[in-house]
Amino acid sequence: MAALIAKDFSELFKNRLSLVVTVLVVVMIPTYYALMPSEVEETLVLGVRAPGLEEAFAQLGASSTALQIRSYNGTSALREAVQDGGVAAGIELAPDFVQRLLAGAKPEVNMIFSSVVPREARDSISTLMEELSFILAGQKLPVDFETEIIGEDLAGKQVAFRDQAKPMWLTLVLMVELISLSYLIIEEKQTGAIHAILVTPATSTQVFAAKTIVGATLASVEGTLVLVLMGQLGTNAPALLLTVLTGAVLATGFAFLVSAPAKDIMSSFSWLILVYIAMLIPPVTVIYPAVSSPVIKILPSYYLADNFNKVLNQGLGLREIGGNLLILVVLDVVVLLAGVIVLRRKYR
Amino acid sequence: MVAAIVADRLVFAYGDLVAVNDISFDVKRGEVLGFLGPNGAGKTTAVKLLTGQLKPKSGVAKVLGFDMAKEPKKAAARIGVCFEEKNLYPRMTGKGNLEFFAKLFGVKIDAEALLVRVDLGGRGNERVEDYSKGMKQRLMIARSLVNSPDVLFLDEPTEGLDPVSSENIRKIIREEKERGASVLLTTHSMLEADKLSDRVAFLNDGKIVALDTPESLKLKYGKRSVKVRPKGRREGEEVELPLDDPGTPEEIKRILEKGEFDTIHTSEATLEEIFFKVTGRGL
Repeated sequence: MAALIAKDFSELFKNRLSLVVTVLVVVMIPTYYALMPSEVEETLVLGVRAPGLEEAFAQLGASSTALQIRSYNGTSALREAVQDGGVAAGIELAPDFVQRLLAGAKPEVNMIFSSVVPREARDSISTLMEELSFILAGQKLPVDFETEIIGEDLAGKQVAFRDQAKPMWLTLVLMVELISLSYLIIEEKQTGAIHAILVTPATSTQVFAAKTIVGATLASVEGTLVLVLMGQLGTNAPALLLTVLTGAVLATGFAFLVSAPAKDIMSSFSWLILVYIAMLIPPVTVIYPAVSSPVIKILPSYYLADNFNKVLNQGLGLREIGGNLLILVVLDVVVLLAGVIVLRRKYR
Repeated sequence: MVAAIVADRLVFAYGDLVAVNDISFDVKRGEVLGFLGPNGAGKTTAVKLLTGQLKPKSGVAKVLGFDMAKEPKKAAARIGVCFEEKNLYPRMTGKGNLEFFAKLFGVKIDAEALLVRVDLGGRGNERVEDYSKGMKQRLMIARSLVNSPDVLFLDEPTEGLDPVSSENIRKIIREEKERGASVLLTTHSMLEADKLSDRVAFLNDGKIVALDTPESLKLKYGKRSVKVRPKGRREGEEVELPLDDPGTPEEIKRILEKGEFDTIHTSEATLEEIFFKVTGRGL
């Protein structure tokens, strides 16, 4: 068994693809994490074209640390700023805005949003416009703003995007090991080397045990290394390490499942992509909770991503994630056994 | 003599395709059995059944007294297998491959000595992916010998080798036989089977259609005749005299006395001709 483990480690590290993927993941994810902003930008930048009212808007911007006003002379310049993302929204007042207002008519206010601005943000800015009209005119202006506020008010307790993305990075790191292990298994199948092993005293149980140890160890070490490099292992280390370990075993089981039907390395990629898509949906819903659904709980990586989110973003510990860990252990056994059964059939 | 390999009414099918159809034979200790047949005859499937890689639908495959369907690992330590496919680890060195398999067998080996034996001395530290086809084949032979096996399964052991290397491998097979190993030699080469085998089995459509010593098969199926090329005739213009014809001895005597010939020799059938005669198809 020791010979099988040593051989699998050695083969994995001699394989350039596996080595490059492993190193890239360990280096790139913490680097990307470090480069992303660690704080939430709470200043709202608005672009305004308000002929005759520039001074009033400038004073409004100066009086608030949360609001920044940028004045534009032309409609096209304002639209360009919105399009480029330089401002969160553009507010354009008609040249006769004040005159119409004084005449008791409804003046035109044109709000310009980029299509990438979420609906929630548009609604919030519309509300803000109502407030601004009070500040500017001292009364409610005869301009209708339809407002709708949805979701929880996260003011003061927002989680930076890079932190929301942590469960996704970590799930990705664990799942990447699928590539290396399935490459090794498929190559042994393709060359027939596995048949040469199975006519020696080594049993198929020993072969699978060795591969499970190698796969789970590599994925665990990678996951732990990424946690350390991201500076995340300081709190609730036992909860995190147990989650990483159960995730690593899960990835190993999926590597067995993916390798069984694949005839060669290329055909394994189509299976790998399927698994990746399925496994990365739950961590994505951590970033975008609005797209989540209870059905997502049928995906094994839900419990992995949920654990990472609870421990890393909500500060919860072993007690709170214990149920998830138990489910992960059961899933590990089921996926691993299923992988061993289908792969053993293919070894014949 | 005790049989090292016993196949007793073995049957195996891939779905509806019967690959091995009720075959029975044995290989005694220190005996070389040539297993001959065209592609798809069932040779490799039979070897897989005998090495425990497949379980038979019915019948029994025994090696060294162990039922290979039930307890293959009990015999595995004393078996050496040289596969037809070059199933080596390409990124390992030649030496690394031998040492890895020696560890699986739990034995210590002098890898360099084994490599020298197959003419790969001094090449052991090169990666297998840099080996030529012939070098890989010779390494396959070396790998099958790491545990000094009592039973050797050799599938096309000289395929892709030059004549000198082929002769060396044949020498190794003879040495293993002298050592007492039983050898099941699967080959397309009738010449090789003839040179090495104590007995040969012809396999066709999953069945053994003939099993005997090469000499007996030649006697049984070969033509009993003498070919004479009279003086002045070219090659291919020989006269064939049937040995069973009552007049032949007198005719041969007359030719010899008068010296009216360039060549005279018995016309012995080759195993290939016999295979064709028995199965109605070539290899």
